[in-house]
Amino acid sequence: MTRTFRLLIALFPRHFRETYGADMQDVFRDQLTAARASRTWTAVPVLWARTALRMTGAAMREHRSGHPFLRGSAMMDFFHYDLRFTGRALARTPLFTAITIGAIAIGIGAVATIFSSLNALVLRPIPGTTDGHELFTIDRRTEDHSEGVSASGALYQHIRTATRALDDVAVWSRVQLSMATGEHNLAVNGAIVSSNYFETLGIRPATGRFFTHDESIPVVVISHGLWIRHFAGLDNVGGRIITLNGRPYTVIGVAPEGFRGVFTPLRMDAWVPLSAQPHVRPGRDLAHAPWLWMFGRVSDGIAPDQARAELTTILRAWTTSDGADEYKQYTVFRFTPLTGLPDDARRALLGFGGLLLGAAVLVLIVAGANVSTLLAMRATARRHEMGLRTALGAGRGQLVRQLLTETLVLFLAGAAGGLLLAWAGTSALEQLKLPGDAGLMLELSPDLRVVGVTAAIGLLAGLVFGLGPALRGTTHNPALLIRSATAGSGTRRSFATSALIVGQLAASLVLLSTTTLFVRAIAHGSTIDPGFDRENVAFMPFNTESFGYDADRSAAFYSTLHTRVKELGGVTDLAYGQAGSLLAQTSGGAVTITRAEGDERLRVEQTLVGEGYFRTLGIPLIEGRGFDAREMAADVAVVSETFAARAWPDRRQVTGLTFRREDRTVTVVGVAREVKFGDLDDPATPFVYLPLRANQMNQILFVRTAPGTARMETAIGVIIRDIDAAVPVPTMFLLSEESALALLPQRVAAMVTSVLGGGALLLACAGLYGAIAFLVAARTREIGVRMALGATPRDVVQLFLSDGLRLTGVGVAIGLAGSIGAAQLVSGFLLGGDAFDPASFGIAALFLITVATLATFAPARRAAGVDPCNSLRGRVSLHHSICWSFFQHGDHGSP
Amino acid sequence: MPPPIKDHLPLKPVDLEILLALADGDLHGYGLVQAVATHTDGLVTLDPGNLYRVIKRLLETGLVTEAGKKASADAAGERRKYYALTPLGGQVLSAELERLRRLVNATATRAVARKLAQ
Repeated sequence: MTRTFRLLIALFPRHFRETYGADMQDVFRDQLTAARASRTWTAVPVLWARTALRMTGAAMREHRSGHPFLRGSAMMDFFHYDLRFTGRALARTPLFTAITIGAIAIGIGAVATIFSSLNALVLRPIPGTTDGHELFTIDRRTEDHSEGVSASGALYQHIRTATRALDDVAVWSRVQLSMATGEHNLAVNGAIVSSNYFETLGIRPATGRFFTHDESIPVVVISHGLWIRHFAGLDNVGGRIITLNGRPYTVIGVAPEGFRGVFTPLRMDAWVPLSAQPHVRPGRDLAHAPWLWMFGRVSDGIAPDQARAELTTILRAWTTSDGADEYKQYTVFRFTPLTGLPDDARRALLGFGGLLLGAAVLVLIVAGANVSTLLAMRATARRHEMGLRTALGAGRGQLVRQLLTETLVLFLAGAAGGLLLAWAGTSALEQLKLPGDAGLMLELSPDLRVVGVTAAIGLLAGLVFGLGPALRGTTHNPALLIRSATAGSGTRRSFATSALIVGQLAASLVLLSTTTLFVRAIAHGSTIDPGFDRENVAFMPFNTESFGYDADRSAAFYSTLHTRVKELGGVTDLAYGQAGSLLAQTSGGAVTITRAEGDERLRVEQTLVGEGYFRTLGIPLIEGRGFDAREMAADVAVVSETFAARAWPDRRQVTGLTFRREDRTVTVVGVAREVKFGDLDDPATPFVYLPLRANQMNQILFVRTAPGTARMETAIGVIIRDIDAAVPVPTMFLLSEESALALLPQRVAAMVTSVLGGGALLLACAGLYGAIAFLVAARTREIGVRMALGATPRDVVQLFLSDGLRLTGVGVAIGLAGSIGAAQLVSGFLLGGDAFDPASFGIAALFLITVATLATFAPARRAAGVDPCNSLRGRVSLHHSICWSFFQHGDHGSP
Repeated sequence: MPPPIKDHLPLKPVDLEILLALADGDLHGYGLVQAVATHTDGLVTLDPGNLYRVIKRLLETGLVTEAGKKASADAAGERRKYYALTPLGGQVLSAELERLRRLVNATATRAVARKLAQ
């Protein structure tokens, strides 16, 4: 109850609610208790309704008493007269009000859902930070920004001491941790961070403290979620010891609720300082290896560009003075707002989200046009009332203001409904299964910014779509209005109404054909051959670093696991590797090809693979062989077809040839068929497979089973527990499922555009139906005359049907032109499919025409049922009067 | 110099009910709602908003004062803010009651009442 009641309290002036808010809550709670005890079931709802009404009134009066100048002002007139009148007017036509608000809610809900998701993913600063607009991701890039490298510890320290333009710089990197919880360990997503990480972000701890520069013992900051789940939110959690990766850490503080680190899609549960690196990332070289992500806070009054220029200067001076830096080609920094996503992902999402937002705006336009038509018809139906009010002395300005108020109230109510839809829509989107990490989790729900933008959209839409009908509804002089209002002879579909209906149909068609394009792209995408056999392969990623193992123990673990899993029934092949799905992360690098005419540097993608890898993943070897167990430490490589073709275009056989990589000579032992790791429409990049050293800490176990074998998750879990009971068992993924996720953007787009397209079509057809039905009602007398003069029912049906079909025809023509344009915009997401796809457009257009014909036919048939005698005598059918009362106040009577 | 008693007269009906309720002893917000409801046979049920608007007005005019927080017997012992009649409030109340008594007992009023009752 408290939340709803607090809304009522929020209506009061600030001073009043601060003084009496808590007391008012107490009183209401007591009243509720008494009402519940009264045993009359109506007591509670009656109390709620009465309290809500009276509190609203009391709040209004309290506002007024605080501002004597408001008394009698236009503002109070507005609240007292216009709003009240509007409320009454809308309440008298509940069906009209409900349908209008519903249509607006659909349109605004579509926009708000997409905007809320975009806002959460790429626009808003990281939750909990102060002055988030001053925070920037600092990326070291090549001059043309095409390649990047993370920062080394040494570079970070140097920048931190040298910079003037930044208030502070911090770094972080991901670490996989496992936390001891009794019998089994729990896998925890962690980050290793510089001690000023939280300070730079401007985050305050929920309890305890954050890191200082000289922590003498191993310490950890845990997330609010972990604190609640494992420490039941105890106040005195500080000082507790938890075991991470086999070593005790002292909990010193808890991050605020909702804080998930600076990469927000991933749920982060623990943060350790850089001093923990020898333990949690034992293999890393803290000083020189680039593995840290940097972000900083730009000082007050300094433009990001200035800070970037300063840092670039610092970087150039440093690379020339520090001989140890191997990354001299990365000469500049790139600054991007710190929003919880890496810049590339952010750009991709912005582009993708922009398209979806465009689709949502189309729905809003359809809804707005729809409502605009309804409002215009309502204005026509109310000409009698308007005429009467004008005759009684109401100025045109007053009437327009009244109609506009009604429109704005409708649109604002629609916006509120749209927000509710956005809550529902975003929680549906949050349920989407995301690729890869089990810790990935979206948080898309609307925040205050979304609420504000939604309200603004509601107002703007109200003005755009409501101003026209309001002006038109009051144009004529009163005598004309009153006279013509009786049984609308001569009511023709106005040009504006036609344009609005055509617009709705065209926009619906654009959405429908875009949906068809995406559905076809999905079908096309699932037939693209990734180059490896996705069926019957499961994989499980391990990171023995997080088990607290050293290199020897890690090698022993992987070796035992391999032997034991091989013995399981149904396992036909297995291998270790580091990448192997459509969503795999491979690392970029470069090799040097030595030729007679000089060396050539070749940019490649590379990954580490173990013995049996090509067999397990079903990647055919065109030439040579895969690695065998003995050469895992040797300088050998398997290369892709593209690599062979680029490096040695004139050689038919390349096994035995060599190239140089990181100052070592590598011999090619085999050539593998092209695979598509990463993206389905990825252009082929030269690819190098290198042997996976036995002491590598993070490896992925790939297991191929005989067709029809059940999932091996449990069996492998038992083996892992048997080797080391404390080890957390990783999640097992199926390669087929994982690869299907590569089509996620297309699936999301198809889902969103089909929902939007369906909604738009529904609205457009309702609009078409309504327009024809209204015309039929308004032209009853004319129909009567026609029939009296010999027109058959068939002629009458034809009259209206052809009218509706003409509109549909124009709508389809414009919609097809729009579809071709929209297809160009989405062509990047069609996986190489043709954007100009007549079949997709044809299917969509046919569907639209069918539905539109049905929507026209129903009211047209009704026109044929008009009885000429009755209609000429001025008697109207039931249908007619229903149609009329839909728009009009009861007490002004139907014609 | 505080405004003379007659400046407060006549009292608004709700104000009169509140002052009457407080004349029996200090009460908290919900206590006032209950007292007023009982006294008017359920005719007047106050909502929290209007209740505190009245209380605010009575506090500002000095007819009522806050009597501190006390554990309340009827709200499971929770601590509630109590209100009390000020001496001025008492004087205004008795002046208002006297005015009403004179109004009710006036010869003209009785004549009207007799006429309407027939």
